[in-house]
Amino acid sequence: MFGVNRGKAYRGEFGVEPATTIRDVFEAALGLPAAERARLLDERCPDPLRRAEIERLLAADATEGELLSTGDAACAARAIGDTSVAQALPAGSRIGPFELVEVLGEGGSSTVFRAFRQVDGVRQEVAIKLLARGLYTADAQRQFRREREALARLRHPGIARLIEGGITEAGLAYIALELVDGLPITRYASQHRLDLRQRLVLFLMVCRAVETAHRALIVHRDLKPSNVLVTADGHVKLLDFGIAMLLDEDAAEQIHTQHRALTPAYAAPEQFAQEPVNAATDVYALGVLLDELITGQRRASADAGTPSSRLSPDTVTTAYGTVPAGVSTLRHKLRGDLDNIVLKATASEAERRYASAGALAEDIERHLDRQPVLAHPPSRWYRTSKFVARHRGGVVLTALFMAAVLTSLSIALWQAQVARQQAARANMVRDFVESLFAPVRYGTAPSEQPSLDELLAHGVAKLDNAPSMDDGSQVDLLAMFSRLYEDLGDVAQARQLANRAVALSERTLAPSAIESIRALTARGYAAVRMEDYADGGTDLRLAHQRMLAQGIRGEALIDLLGPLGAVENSEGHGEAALDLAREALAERIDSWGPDDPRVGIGYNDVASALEGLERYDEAIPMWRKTWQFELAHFGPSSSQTTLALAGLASSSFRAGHWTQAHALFGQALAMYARNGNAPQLTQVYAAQKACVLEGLRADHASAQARCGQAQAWSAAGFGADTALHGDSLEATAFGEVEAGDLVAARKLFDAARKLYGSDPANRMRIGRVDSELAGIALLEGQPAVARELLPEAIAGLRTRKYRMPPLIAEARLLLACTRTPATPCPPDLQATVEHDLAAVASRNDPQLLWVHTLLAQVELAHDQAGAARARLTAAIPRAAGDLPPAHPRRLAAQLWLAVAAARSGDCADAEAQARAASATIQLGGLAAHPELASASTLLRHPLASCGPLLN
Amino acid sequence: MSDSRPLASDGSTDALFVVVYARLKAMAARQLSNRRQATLDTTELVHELYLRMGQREALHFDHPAQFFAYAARAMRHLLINRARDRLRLCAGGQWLRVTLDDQDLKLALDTAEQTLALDAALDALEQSDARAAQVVELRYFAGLSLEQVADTLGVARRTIDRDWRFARAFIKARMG
Repeated sequence: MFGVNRGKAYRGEFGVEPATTIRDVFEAALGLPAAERARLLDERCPDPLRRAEIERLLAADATEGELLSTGDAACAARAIGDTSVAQALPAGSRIGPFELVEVLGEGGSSTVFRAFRQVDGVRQEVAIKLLARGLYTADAQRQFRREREALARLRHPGIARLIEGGITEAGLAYIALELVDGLPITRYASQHRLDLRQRLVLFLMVCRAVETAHRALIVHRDLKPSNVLVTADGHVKLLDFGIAMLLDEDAAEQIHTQHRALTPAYAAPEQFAQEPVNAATDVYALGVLLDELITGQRRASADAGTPSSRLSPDTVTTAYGTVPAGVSTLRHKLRGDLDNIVLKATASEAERRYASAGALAEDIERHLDRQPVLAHPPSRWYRTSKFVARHRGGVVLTALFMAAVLTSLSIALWQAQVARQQAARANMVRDFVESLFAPVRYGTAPSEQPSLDELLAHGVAKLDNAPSMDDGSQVDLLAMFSRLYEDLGDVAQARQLANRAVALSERTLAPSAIESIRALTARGYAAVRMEDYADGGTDLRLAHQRMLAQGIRGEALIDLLGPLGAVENSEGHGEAALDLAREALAERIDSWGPDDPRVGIGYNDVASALEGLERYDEAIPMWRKTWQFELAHFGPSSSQTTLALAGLASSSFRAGHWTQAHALFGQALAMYARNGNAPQLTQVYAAQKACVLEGLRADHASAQARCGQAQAWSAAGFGADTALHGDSLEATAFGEVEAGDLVAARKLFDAARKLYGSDPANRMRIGRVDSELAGIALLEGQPAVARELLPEAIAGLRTRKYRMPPLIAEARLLLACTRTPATPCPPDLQATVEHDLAAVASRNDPQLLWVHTLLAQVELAHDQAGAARARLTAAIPRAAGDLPPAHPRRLAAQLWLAVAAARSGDCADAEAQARAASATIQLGGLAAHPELASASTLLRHPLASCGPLLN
Repeated sequence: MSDSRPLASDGSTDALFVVVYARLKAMAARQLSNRRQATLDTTELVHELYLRMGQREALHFDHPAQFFAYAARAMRHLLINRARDRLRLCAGGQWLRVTLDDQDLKLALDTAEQTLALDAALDALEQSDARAAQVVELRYFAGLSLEQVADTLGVARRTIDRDWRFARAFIKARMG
């Protein structure tokens, strides 16, 4: 602003306007000799601060030289030198995990490189954008991270993905983006000679992508053809979404830079005016882009004319590849709807534009469907009201007219507000939550700090009394509180809040609103946590469907996939559960990068799904990977690391690596015990599995310790009257069987069975107990009892996919019906057993020895001594690695092998086997073990051609 | 500072600034790469910028005064950016190839720090005496003589002389 005269007068330190300015005194003093200067200052500057300032000015005036000691501006610029980042970062330099290849482009506020990194041996090519501004303060870095995370959550096939972002040690911020190979949309359209309709359809894809971003509260701010690419296969990819936001310097710095990252031709008026930008800003740029796409010519910035009026033979020929005669046809097609649509999108007043990119898309769709569009030329009323607003003084207004103007104005203001509300709401919710935690942050004494429970109750109460909060926020917060209650284990409260969230969203929001979808997810999750898989599955599947339809990915999707996997599992769809777990893992890595701590749970879930499918060879390395990941991110004593270790132990156990599982469970349970938290479900599971394992290994001391933990934790954490506690009792019983105490075992099995009741959900558990009770009956010489129990038990066991328990039960049934000629075996039982055995043949599960010993007895009963002998000769050494020599099952198998050898006429081998077993039995004090009873009895008498082999 | 901005608030001139700045930056970069050649001082640099800009039809300024205001602003911007980059790269020196010897580096860093101090002082001056600050911009950053500054601002030479003397003292006193 030239020609402005003297600027603001100097204001004194105390805000009092002095009669004369500092400059006045300074200039007055300049002409005076030193002594008179002092007198002048005495007279006119009684304030010592002011006087000192003037004295400094006079001293500075007396010095020689330029403003900068280096010389004039050009000279100073040379002395400082040009340190552009491209120069400082040659090919091969590293930024974060990426190696730079070449500079793709350099702009005022950033430099773009082609770069790559190796991920699991695969070369991942990315575009790295290095921001020119540095982020030195913790606040600036936090802000950058927050925005980066918002961008990372933005997932849409039409938007180039933000892969990673970080801050180098030098304080430079960078972002890694999906590298897109494509042409600017305008070039693509002319190169492929797209007709008008094809161009509009392509442009709709652009609008949809922009709409998705706006819903995630992200504004592009710099939409232009070079940011809207079309790949060779015709897919639209938007580049640099929200990057302008990251580039924008904070308010203080903005004063210095004077301009923002923007491209003048596509920038909306509010951007030039440096007013806050919002979704309407992008709508404006879309309008300019649409104009250029359909006319083949970018409009001049001051041009508010219609697209159809601007068509020229040259540009149309270049853009459409048609003969100039096509111009009039095209003009005819643009005139009317498309002209109006472009004008509405590019209205200089933001409130007159389409409210969203989606609304713009819908109007174009209406045009394509030959329906009337919303856009129309400004009405006379509108122009009149504008005129009135501009010439208030000159127009005589009636009160009525004035009221009408004010009404229309307030509606316009309200509309402009809607777009901003999104961002405002995100802030409001954040503030609300932060206010809840205020007492925790501001150094309250630990004893007075509220518990998480209290905090949540406080939050819910506060929400009830927050009438000013809008519905979307309320729904979001209710869902969030529901989630938090779940984490605290208060599933009932969680479910109630989730129900409220869904009810509110159904009353006030669209089903496709992200808040509605999140509420639905929360309700489904709460149901799943209460093992209500049917209701939970309905909600979660619907939410999943809507998310996919809306292009919502990232955290919201991840939150959904976990419980959905649990639903699939509960329905026996292990493969589907595994697919979901893998999808979630990929989503985690995509959203947060491979090194984010939150990726660990993704590995955990995949491992867990693999275990569920009995694919132990894959589950074990995946658990190991999970464990290493958690160890690296959370340290050795974290609950995450412990969980992974327990998972590794569990899969090792199920795969039959009992010795290894023994050591791993020991480690995991020691960590659980040390943490001393209220027992978690996973912790109880781990103790129960360890209890069964030690029992089966016949390691009585370990079994006692583990089973003690399992019982204590299930009772303390979940109640002594729960099915979960029944599991602990049942687990303990397995050890009693191996210890030979059938009475104690039966007592525990009965107690467990009582806790399971007749709940159909516990069918598998009941089947497990009945199979064991049948095993005891067989040992006690009551095959009829076993024959009675087993068919139903097998059916129960088959409700879960694990193969080993039903296999044992089937072998028991085969033996039981062999011994009860009155009720012969089901006809296909033999075939089923052989089939199941083949399925686990590759596994070295020691429990296969249980099965083979049973089957050998069946064969002996059918005079197939040779088969029995071959079976046991093969089976015993396979189990030897994980069973101690004095294990009753091993000894029983050896005794039955002696029987089989004797029946085959090999008395020498029979005697050797019997003698070896006998020695170990004596040594271990196992003579009275019921497992050994029937074989021992047989061996005390002559068998076939051999004499008694035991005394 | 915003009220002394030589940019009108409508978009077209803001876009002009971007172009002027980009041109100046490119010219300055070439200057740097040809160290051995005779270097231009500020006056020559801005004059050359004027000639080049004038060749572009798309850009026309209402009158030369407007151009010099832009050029001054662009030069100030360039200097500050370079100073910031220099200090920043120095702070994170581990990945910077050292291209300057120690003495040059010290000069570069000193000049960079002084530049930022000058910028801050000029901001302060703008608050207290906007025209004096304009004189500094045109004189120091656009390389105009005080006579030319007087012509450009349409203010008597005497007044401009006084403005310059006060501004110089004000800035030097602030920069210590």
